[in-house]
Amino acid sequence: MRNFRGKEVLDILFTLPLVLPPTVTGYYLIILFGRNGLIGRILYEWTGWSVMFTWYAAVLASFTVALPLMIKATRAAIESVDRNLINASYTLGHSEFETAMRVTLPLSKRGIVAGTVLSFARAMGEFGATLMIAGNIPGKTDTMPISIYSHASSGDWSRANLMVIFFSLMSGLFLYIANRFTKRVF
Amino acid sequence: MGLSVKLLKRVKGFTLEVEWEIGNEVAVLFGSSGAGKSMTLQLIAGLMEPDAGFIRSNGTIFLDKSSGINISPQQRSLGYVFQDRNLFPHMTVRENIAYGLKRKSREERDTRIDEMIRQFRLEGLENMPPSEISGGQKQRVALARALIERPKALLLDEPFTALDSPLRFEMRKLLQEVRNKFDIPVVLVTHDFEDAYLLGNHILVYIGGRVEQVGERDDIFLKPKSIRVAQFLGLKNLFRGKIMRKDEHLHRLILEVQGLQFSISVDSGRGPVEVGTEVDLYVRPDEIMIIREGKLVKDSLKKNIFDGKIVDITDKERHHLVYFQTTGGRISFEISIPNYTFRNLNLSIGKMVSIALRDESLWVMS
Repeated sequence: MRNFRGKEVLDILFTLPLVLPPTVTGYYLIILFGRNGLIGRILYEWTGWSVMFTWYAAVLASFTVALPLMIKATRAAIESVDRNLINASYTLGHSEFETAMRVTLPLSKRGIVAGTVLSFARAMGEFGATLMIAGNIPGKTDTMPISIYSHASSGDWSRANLMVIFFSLMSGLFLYIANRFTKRVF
Repeated sequence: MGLSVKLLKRVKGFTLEVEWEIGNEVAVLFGSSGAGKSMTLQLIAGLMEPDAGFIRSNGTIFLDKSSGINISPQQRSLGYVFQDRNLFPHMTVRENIAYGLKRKSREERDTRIDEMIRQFRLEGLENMPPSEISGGQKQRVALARALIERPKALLLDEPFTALDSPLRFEMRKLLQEVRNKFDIPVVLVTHDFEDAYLLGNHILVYIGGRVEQVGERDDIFLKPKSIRVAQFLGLKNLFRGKIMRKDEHLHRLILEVQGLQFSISVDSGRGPVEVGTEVDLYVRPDEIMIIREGKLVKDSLKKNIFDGKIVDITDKERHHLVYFQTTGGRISFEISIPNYTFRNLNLSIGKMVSIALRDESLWVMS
């Protein structure tokens, strides 16, 4: 993979949400997208709309938290492609773009699919950052993990149980699919 | 004509500095691993950039650091075959070969691919994935793919190392066919003695990032330029000695090794040799004569006769290796004798014999 200045900085920036407490990630998202935030203010001034406490915010939080997983998996998959094959493609007259489309991506497809499934599962389970910027508005921004929290804290065990079982099965299925795709076929 | 390169490349703890030129022939870069052979190929292919130098092939300049020319690997149009893991695992044999083609009409593509499949005897394997064909077949596909666009040169990095010996023999023949048909320079990298010996009309010996010797095969194996080449080739009977006298009239040198004197023709060596200098002597094991008891020795052989005894004998299938130690144990020679001579000589361990060194057996390296 090509080296460029700031590659390391970018890598750390995009990986941070993986290790930061979700509340900290959520806090940063407020700083960026809040009504007085760096981006949020401009958005509000232009459109009169703010992402805060809408279901879009829940999506944004899930996306931010799941992104590092996606990037890490994709990068590992692409870097695991044999350098010989890429070099062979170059010497056979194919450009970097063509090589990426016809050699690198097809050979790292499985790893990328596995990463997608895993990061999707991670996004579904997002809790902390979502709570920070989307809140817990019943029927609007209460994602399943947040609902489980609400039901459990208000003693509504039967609903909580149902959701927990459903969630566990779904996550198990995701892991199964991800594993299937990480197994090398070639 | 051919390919000419001058390359300087510094990487951590290693410097490659070579300059050579070859014609449209098979040239072997021969050296141990880490000598810079593969790096040379990568530099020629443009997968690496040298710090200084140039690369030219049949009139095309691929790279010239002094004028800033650097053609991309895609534009150099070179065939490159690696030791293994050459083929794209997600494509069939046919798709792999087709990948080497530039844009063309469907018809022309098909004819060209069929032609290569025939030439490299890959009929019946077209639709198989690389994982289901043998190692030799894989290398044939890699060659077909590399040659389908008629490249300006063919670069082969240890192409036969992963193959069994019968297959290697077949591949060597194939390579000769390729060279004859395509008439391009073929640069082959190997650390294998046999590959180098059988394939190389032209051998370049790589030692520690430099070309130590260039020449025809026999030139290198029989007349190594330096002790470093001789040691790399694994030659036996290498001795360090000092030139004691020079007889201009008789055209001979007297060389002393461990107190023993050798009389050597001044033509049996490379470079200037002055009295008092230390040089290396190579005594060719298959040119040493063991003198039969009671037999008269020709005058021409009388210059270098040594007495001693046989200390060991090894049977080597096609010949015998006899280990001879001079009286007093100052020098040991390894002597290679054909089987029929060995039987006639009636040798055994501990037997006292004399040996004579022909002029052809002695080679001086300074």
